[in-house]
Amino acid sequence: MQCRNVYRATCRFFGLAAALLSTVVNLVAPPSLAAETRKKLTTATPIQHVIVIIGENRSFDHVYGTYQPVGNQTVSNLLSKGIVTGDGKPGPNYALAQQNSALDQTTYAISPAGKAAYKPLPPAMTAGAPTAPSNADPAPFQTAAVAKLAEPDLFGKYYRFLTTGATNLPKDTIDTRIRNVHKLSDGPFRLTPGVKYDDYAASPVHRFYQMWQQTDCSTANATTNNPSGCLSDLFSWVEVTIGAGSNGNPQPVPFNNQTTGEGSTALGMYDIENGDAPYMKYLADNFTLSDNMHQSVMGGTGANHIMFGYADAIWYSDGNGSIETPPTNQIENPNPDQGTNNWYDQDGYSGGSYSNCSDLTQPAVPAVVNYLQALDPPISPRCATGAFYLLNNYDPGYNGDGTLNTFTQFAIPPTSQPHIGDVLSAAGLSYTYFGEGWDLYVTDPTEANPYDRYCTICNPFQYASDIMTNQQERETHIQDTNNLYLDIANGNLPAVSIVKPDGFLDGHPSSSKLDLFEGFVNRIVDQVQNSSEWQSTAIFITFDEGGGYYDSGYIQPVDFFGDGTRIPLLIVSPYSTGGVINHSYADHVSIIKFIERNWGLGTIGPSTRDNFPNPNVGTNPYVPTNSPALDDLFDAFNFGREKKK
Amino acid sequence: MIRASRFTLLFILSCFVMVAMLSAAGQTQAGQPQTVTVSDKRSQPEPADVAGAWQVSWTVRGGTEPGTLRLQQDGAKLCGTFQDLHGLSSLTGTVDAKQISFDVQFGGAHPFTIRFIGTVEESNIGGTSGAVGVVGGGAYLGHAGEVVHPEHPWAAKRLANPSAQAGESGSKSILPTKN
Repeated sequence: MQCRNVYRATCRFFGLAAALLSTVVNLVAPPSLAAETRKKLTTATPIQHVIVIIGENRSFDHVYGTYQPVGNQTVSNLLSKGIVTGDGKPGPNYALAQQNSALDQTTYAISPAGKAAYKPLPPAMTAGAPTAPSNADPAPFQTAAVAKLAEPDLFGKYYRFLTTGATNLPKDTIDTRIRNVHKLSDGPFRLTPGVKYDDYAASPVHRFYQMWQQTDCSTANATTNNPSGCLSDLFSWVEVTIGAGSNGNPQPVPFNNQTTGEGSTALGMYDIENGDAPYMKYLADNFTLSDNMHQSVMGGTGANHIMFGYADAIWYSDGNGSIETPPTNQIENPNPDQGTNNWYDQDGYSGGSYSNCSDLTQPAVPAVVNYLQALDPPISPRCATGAFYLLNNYDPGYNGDGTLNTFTQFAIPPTSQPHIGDVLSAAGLSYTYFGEGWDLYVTDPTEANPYDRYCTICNPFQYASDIMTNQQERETHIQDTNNLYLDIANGNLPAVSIVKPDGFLDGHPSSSKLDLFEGFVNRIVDQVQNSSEWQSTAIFITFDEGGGYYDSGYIQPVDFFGDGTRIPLLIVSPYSTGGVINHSYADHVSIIKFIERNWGLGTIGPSTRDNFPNPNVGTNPYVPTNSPALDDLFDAFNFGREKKK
Repeated sequence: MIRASRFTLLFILSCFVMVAMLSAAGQTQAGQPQTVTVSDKRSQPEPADVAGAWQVSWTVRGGTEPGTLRLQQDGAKLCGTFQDLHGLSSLTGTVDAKQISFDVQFGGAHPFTIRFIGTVEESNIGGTSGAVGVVGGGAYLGHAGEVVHPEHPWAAKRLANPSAQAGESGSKSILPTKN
């Protein structure tokens, strides 16, 4: 046998190579960020440091649907609207959240006809939620020891949540933990106590064209208090007719309300007044909660993190800044296949994800653009001529080490579009994206390691050529979260920190839980509060999107890409205390606007969303009368002399 | 028979030495590989001949990566190495007629073990892979609700030139392209 000789020869070669590589890396490594002198410019407020923590996939009503604010504050949620009662049961106005089936059999429509109320809702299902604990992949883990090995960013009591909450049910089956799951009313239902707050549960679909349909927007339904005419009454129907996409495959045979594996998952909600989400409640009771914050793009993780970084969507290019047409099988076509009701022709993670929204001959584009043009006043789609925009999740064009990502055809080529990092750098301001698990990911670009849960698509700078092709830029502006904790401890926070938990802690249903995200946030908030940085820091805690969960809030169309449903936004600082509820209309770009105004910066580009004005409102504080408009969130603070721009 | 026994002894010894050397090189073992025992060789077809070098294409959550598999075989027993983006890793396993199964022990800060199973068809092998110890499946749910490559497929093609190396970024996939 030759095992020994083969191994010796191979090891000799690679051992020498590793030694040489290590020497070279040490020679070219830049000085650490901690040693870098950070420039502090004059700010409009006492805030010298902004920390943005972005969790995953929870709509406002899904978390805060039964929240009752402190003092004389008011909130817009399921309870205040009478959609549910204090114990989460159907309220007097439950019909406001009624869910319908519909018919879409020829051409994609965002507000299809043939609606009929579900009685009852299709049962909610487990989709891909974990069946049992495992010490290998994925969480929950069998032992606390493995949980601590896999996940370094938790503390104290939160670790046990990594070992609990498996469904004990098969995947893609009816979730019998939910009370009356076979007889659900035709609107929101309580997940708890049948599904424990600490349990894993299914993840509803939340892709671009699916969400346009779920929110069911039509000018025919427009009113003074709801000028966009979005009814949000097709969440279940989209889940059970197309779910997470076809990937270009024909509709399965047979096909019924359980085939996509989701059922009516989207209508599940927690009950924060009866013990769910206790840390989210604590923060809302003691700091500031927005009840009018929105995901900035209809759909999922990638496009929403991109909008946060670029105040725009990004488009397919030749990798050098010129517009190109993507492969045919990557272009969205949500027109229904012949003989089906709403089974998209081409859409999915391994299928269509781009649309040229400047071209009304492209599939589905007229459905959205014609609606925007019919609004009063009309809303510009804001689409560059000939550009195919990325609407759903594709990997960034770069690996963590700056090499091109050639591991998958479903990666968008590198982009040269400007981002908030460019604006900050030009002003000499420091910024860092702290992605948990980054260090492991750099050595594991294909994510073969089951412990590697770094989120590639969440990092807006990983798409950008100017960051990823320059080692010093890369190492300065993208780091693991362990450096964040050091920076807080050392009083060395960048001006802007964007913080992303890994897949175990991000709160994403099915692969994570909200209590784990609470633990991640709790650690950072506690550390900042106990540091020298507290008096000059604002922590924005929000989510990338609503995850496909139902929400009852107003949606303002601002361009082709969104906005979408409401998401929670908590603002934690010494200047945003008291349990205040802020009603100003906002999305992810509002945080960009706060940064730009605070440091007196220009916008990212001449037509990016950060150019939108702050909202004017009439009698309804939730509805801007000067659409498209986004608040800069200055009015979420009490800086004394500060006034709204 | 005596010659076969000596051969088997040498096989076990060389595998043992290889694993020990990998450990000494800093590659921590994540778990004990599971070896399937062939209970009655006389009633079974001969194990496929898989000894040698193979170019591997392995699809995981982040895409498809190349690798080089080097297998040593003693009847139904296998040992060898797997070279890919993660470096050089040891493996042990079995081959039962055309069915192959081996565990690759990856080192680093977070060691992990992946079990590859597949079917041998002359100069090609195809199959699936998953982390060892998984209960209830190893699918990872993507950020839009989609299940991403839950079966983690892999394929291997026998290398005509055994000294050739795969495992570098950008090597061409030999898996069929979807769509």
